[in-house]
Amino acid sequence: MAAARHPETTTSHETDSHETESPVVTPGSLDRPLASFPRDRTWLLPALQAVQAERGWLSLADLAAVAAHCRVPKSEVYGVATHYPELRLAPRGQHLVRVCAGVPCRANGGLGLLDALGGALGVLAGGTTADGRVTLEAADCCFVCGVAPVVEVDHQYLSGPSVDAVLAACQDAPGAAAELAIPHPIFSVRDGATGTCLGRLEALGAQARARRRAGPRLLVGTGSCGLARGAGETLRALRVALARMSLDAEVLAGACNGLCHAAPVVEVLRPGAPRLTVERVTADRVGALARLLDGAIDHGLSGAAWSETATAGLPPVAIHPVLGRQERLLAERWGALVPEDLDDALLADTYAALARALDAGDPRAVVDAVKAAGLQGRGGAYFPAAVKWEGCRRAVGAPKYFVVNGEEGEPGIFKDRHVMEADPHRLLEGMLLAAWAAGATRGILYIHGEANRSAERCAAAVAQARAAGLLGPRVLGSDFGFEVEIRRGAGGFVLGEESALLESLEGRRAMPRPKPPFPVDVGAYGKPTVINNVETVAAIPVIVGGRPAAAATKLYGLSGHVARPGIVEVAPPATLRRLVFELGGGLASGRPLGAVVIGGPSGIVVSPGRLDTPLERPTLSPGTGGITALDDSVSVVDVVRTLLAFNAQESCGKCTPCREGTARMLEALDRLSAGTGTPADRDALRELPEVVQVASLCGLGQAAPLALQTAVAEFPGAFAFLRSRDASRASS
Amino acid sequence: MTLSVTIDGRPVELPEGATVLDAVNRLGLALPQLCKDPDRPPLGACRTCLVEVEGQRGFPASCHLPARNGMAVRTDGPEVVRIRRAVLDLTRSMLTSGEGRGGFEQLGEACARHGLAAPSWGPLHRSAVDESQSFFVLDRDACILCGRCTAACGDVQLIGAISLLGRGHAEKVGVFGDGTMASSICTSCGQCVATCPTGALRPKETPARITKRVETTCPYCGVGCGIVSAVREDGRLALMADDVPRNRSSEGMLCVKGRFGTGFVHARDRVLHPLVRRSGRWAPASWDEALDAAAEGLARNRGRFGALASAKATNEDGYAIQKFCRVVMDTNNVDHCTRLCHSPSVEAMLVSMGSGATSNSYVDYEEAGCLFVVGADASENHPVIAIRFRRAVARGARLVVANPKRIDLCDYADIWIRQRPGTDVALFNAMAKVILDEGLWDRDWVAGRTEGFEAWRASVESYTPELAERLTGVPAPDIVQAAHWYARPPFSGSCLIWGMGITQHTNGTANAHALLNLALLTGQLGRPGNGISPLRGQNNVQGCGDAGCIPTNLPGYQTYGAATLDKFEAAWGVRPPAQPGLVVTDMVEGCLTGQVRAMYVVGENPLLSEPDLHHARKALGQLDCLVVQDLFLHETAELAHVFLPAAAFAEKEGTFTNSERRVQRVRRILEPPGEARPDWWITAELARRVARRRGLEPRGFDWPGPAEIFDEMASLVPFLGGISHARLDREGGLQWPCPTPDHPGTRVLHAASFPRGRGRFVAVTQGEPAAELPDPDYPFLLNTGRLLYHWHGGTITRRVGGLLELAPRLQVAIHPADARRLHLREGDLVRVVSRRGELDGRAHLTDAVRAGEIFVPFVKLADSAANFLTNSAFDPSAKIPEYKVCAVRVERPLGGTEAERPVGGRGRA
Repeated sequence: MAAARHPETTTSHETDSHETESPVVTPGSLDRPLASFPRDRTWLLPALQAVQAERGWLSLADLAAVAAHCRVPKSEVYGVATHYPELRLAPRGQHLVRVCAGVPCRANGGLGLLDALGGALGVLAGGTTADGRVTLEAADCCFVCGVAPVVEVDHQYLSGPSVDAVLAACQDAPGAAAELAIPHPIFSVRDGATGTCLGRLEALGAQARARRRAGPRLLVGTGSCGLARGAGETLRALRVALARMSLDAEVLAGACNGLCHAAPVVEVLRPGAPRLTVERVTADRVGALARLLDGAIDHGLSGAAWSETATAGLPPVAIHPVLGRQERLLAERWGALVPEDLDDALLADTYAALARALDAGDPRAVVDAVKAAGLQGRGGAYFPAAVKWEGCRRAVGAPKYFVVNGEEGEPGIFKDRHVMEADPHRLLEGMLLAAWAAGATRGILYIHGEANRSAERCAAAVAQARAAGLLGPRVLGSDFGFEVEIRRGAGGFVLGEESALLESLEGRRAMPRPKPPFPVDVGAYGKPTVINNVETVAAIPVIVGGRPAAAATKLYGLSGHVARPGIVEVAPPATLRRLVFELGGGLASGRPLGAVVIGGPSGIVVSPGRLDTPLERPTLSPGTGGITALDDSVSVVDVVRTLLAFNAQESCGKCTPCREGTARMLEALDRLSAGTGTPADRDALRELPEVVQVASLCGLGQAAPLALQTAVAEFPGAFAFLRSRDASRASS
Repeated sequence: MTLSVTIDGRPVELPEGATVLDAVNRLGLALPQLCKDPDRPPLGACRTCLVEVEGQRGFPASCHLPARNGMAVRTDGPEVVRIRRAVLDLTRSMLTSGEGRGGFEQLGEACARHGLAAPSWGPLHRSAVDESQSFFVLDRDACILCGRCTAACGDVQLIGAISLLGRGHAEKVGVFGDGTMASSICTSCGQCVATCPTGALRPKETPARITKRVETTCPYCGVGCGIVSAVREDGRLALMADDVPRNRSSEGMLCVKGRFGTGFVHARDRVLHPLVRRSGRWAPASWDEALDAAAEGLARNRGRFGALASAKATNEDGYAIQKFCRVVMDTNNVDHCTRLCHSPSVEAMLVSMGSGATSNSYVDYEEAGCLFVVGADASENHPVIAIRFRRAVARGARLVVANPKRIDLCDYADIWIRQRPGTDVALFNAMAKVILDEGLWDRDWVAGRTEGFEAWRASVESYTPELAERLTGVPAPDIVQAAHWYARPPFSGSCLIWGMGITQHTNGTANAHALLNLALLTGQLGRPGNGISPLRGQNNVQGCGDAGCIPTNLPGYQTYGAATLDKFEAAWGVRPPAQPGLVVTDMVEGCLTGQVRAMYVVGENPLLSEPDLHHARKALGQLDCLVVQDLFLHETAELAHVFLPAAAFAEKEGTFTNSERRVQRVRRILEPPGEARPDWWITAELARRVARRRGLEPRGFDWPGPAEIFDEMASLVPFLGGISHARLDREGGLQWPCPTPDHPGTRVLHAASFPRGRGRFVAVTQGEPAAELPDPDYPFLLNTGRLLYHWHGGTITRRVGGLLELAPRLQVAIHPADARRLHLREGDLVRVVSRRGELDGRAHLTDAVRAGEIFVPFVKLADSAANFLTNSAFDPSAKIPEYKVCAVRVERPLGGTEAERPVGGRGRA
């Protein structure tokens, strides 16, 4: 839509020239941040975010300006702005310090950090120092649970920092981020309709090969988790060290390979030699890595060699306690390629499954392959993915949309961020395949508002794919046209619900729609739409490429008290014993296992008695794949309260059982656990969970009581106050 | 294809696409459904319509559960009742009982049925009642956050004054910045109040039992919305009217006047008895005395007589008046207010096409790909049509607004063309040139459907966009872009919509022709999704003209040809005069020359609506006999010799015809107060008495009721031939032409040809922008128009307390730069002076007007009215006065700084 032109409200009418300025004074023009957005409601959220990025917060005048630009009534803009937690309607300090208070960080001392920082700064959480320099906040989750406890300073994560380290970070200029992106390669894309898709892809691959230098490549795991552990410093130090050694090696920004606990990790790729995964290469151990590269064996570094035998002083990967015990398909390339680099992607055969499918010309075959493999949605609902595609294909309306839900707003869950940060081209290939199968021509990659690293890398990958003709009106020269747009959320757990996400795309409050109609019939902008989760989409190219096992493996995020937190991928049947004790290395504290949260606030809380129960639906659903193992020092009631409070806070407010019921459950739980409860509270806590579960409109409400319900069943002792005849007397 | 389901064991048949809740409601079962507006898609928010479905787990909400054939549903199983009761308990626990809150309406009833005497929890939030709006309150302690009100505001009205704010249990209904309702853009349309299920939004009215509800047609603007008026047990109309979703013109939408503005029928100063002036004073009289006095005076002045019919009265009333003039008074001197609003449109359309009516229907605005809205502030004047425009924009249509003033629609527009007042011809001719030069015109249409193209084409040759930019002040690229969008919209067709910004000029007819040429050039009329629409001001201005209350034509716009006169003579027993009569502006002038000595003014107040009121007052003061028939003793009635008290719209039967040619029923809800009588009855009585004095056979005025009047009219007007009261009662409103009883009515005119054959291009050139332009003595340009909260001169709306509260004072809109120079602050007393008079008002600083221009609504408030200032210079062919432009100066009256001084208007005669 073209931008509207309005005449100047103050014209050059015959009045004294010094009296023609506008009477309304607005602090600084928003023309520049707003100019890039069409004057349409669908751009409301991005426009608000752009203005907030410019201003730091959103004043009423700013909201009014955005309202006028997007042609949305002011009150509705206010309704939207007050709905999304990441939008700020009050000014904040120069620096923003957020301390994660999610369950994994709590288990690792997050609250203590919050208290200590509050003491050092002289403010409570939510407050700003008197000099306006620092605002301190508690965050629900920073989604880098593998390196808990986490503090975020001006959107940069720090893993387990000291109070001094946080204060020092506040001395830096705000928003100073390490620029790690690599330049985009330029492909010469031949036009015309000659040749097969595979032929075109091979031509692209040949260009990539020709460009590739022969020397060693060192990939530093600069995922969000790695950066929180100092991978940025490692990268810089490594470059300096190698330059000093005159070693002809490239030092590049890679991604986390899943070993968050071992960050910073450096992957060493040398032509003709096995890949080496080197752990805990902090900046002060760069010298040790240099010695390793120099051929020394006594470097003192741990890790694995991707070979049959030990290499360079590192044991073979098969005996690595984490890497050697997984069935890595989705994660197979994590860490070993520069995520957004199309050259790397092409050399790793990305887009080959797409090219072959397009050449075969039968979208139905893609549907059949994915259906036969049994791929189910990994957003937690486990709905058969290909069934949605068929529905969309059948539905009437154009254009059709394929939306990837990369919102991942559930505290304790961080696997989708790993997919987006580590292998965005595979995600794009999955989008292309699924969209083609579903008859969609427009793609939207919806990424969490705080997942900047994911968004940067996906955006770079999209730009490169477009430049190479992998996106656009004729994908790889075929008749299939597909465009991808990246959208950012602004917080809100409910965005995991697909229709709420669609509402936010359209510039509205994220409130679920009643169903039917389902999105495959009436979705984004009223058009047929498929919405799949990131992990689901990433599995598609692997399945279509001939490895249907990828439909069954599952990414798990291990966090809490486990000794080796991170992301692992395993084939079924997974058990908590395997995840927590074999892969996770048991509990770091050495104490007995107390409880495990499976999934986040929509998940369940189970006791060690479930260690050997297969994680299978419906008996023990893995949910979104978060495994937060807690030792016996943790209060299960406190964990449940944290999860329940999050659900109450994240209730979008639309339906009564969720909005009111979660608040009432929390109210009753607080009174009962404090010993001031009444029999009515006890009754309420026994009856309300069922009501909220069966009567709520969407999955958020339906799952909100699960943690409480399961914990009550699994930990009868902890919840004894629910059974006593008189709650208040029993507790006194 | 129908579905068959059973609910609690009872079978019910449903159409495809129905929900389980539809089935429940069809059986009349009492299932709570708090968030479901019966006429809106389900929200799924309250979760109280839960049911059990045999063979299915869980308790789905029936409002968004599709009914399937053979489905067995239970609403009364113990489990589902237990869960539903718990949800109702959570809902009821949000609320606080209190004074004025009543029993929470639908929620209270549902709780009672589920045995829920008291809520289990105390409310989580408390807040004060927002009483800032005049007609209703927002009481959040009675709100269950169902979302119906915000959907009504955002999705039905597309106003967006209220929204849900925040999230979780801290969510609430509110406005921008969390202020009061009055601080928001709320227009008090009451769509939210009507849908609220608990009384959180409720009228400011002591609750009373309703004894009956009657569906009728709104008495305000020409949109013609359906309303349901309710009668309280004390015999008065309830404050709030309900909307009528099945009404095809309004589709359940209403504005503040239709919703809350009908209370004027109970105004304390309604005249309840006939009055006759005796020795300069009003004296009560019997109907016989008054009618005889009136008949005497009119009969005495036969040949020097004119009548002013009312565009507010029914078709039947209008038909009776014009028949009275033509049959009994032997004159075609009958006119109505269309002269003052759309006569140039009608004039130009008759010349170009042969029909003066809107060619398409409201629904076409929503199917169009481009709306070109010129000189029409629909949000103020035709609020329900403005909703259709907003809906169109929401669907992706281009909106081009041409208006010197920044009106509400500008905020939604893709282009706002801010032409200098009076330069419209240059603008439209330049658009035509762009369309010609760039080959955007419809050659086939021009060749097949029009005439006069080549000659006209030459006439626009000189209007380059650059020249137009110099004349109009509109950037040339905007003119080019507007031309592109109008000629080639992104989808469907283009609708051309205009209002009095086009017509109320000395070059009004030329403006209208320049516009119509654009439609003829591009073929943007005659199909769904395009068309030409003059937006009509009064509720029955279309019908009043249709019925023949114009001096130039007989009923149905039939000309004074011999065959037509024969037809009317056969029907009426008297041959109507063959000479066209005087238009209203000429009648007023005729009062001064002696050409007119008696007038019969029905439901009009020319001494508020005429330009240059001092002049008009002087003219009417000369009359030998002035008979005024109305509800109130207004400015014109003050000069009358006989006053005949008429029944209001709610007190009589009949029909109105709206802007889209839809004839709709008006129904008697109340008995007329005192001795007030329906207009048609009074006119018929008068006709009989004048006829007797003239020695005519008094026949043809003995109708038993309005249905028979309509039948007579329909027998003489071919395009109404298939319409009758009985059919309207059966089928709802019908759009003419509807020639036969089995004809469905007509949505689109001119589909195959024009009434005059081919559409005619009429060459027009840009003349002087206006008759009077600013000069050093009168440096400001005055523009006039209407206000949402008042209607026309305000005779009716000033008698609705809530409306007066919403707009109590006359505001003089002035640009802040001008205000600074004059040392005026917001709310300061200002005096506006023209060569003809002056008025006092309050300064309103806004950049909605340009520097050097001021805007004053023409409503009379606190004794000041814009028409004391306006110029009676008129368009030569349509005789419409130039209300839109005159020169004035703005002064600060002595001592006029503090905001509380009384405001008054004086003459400078």
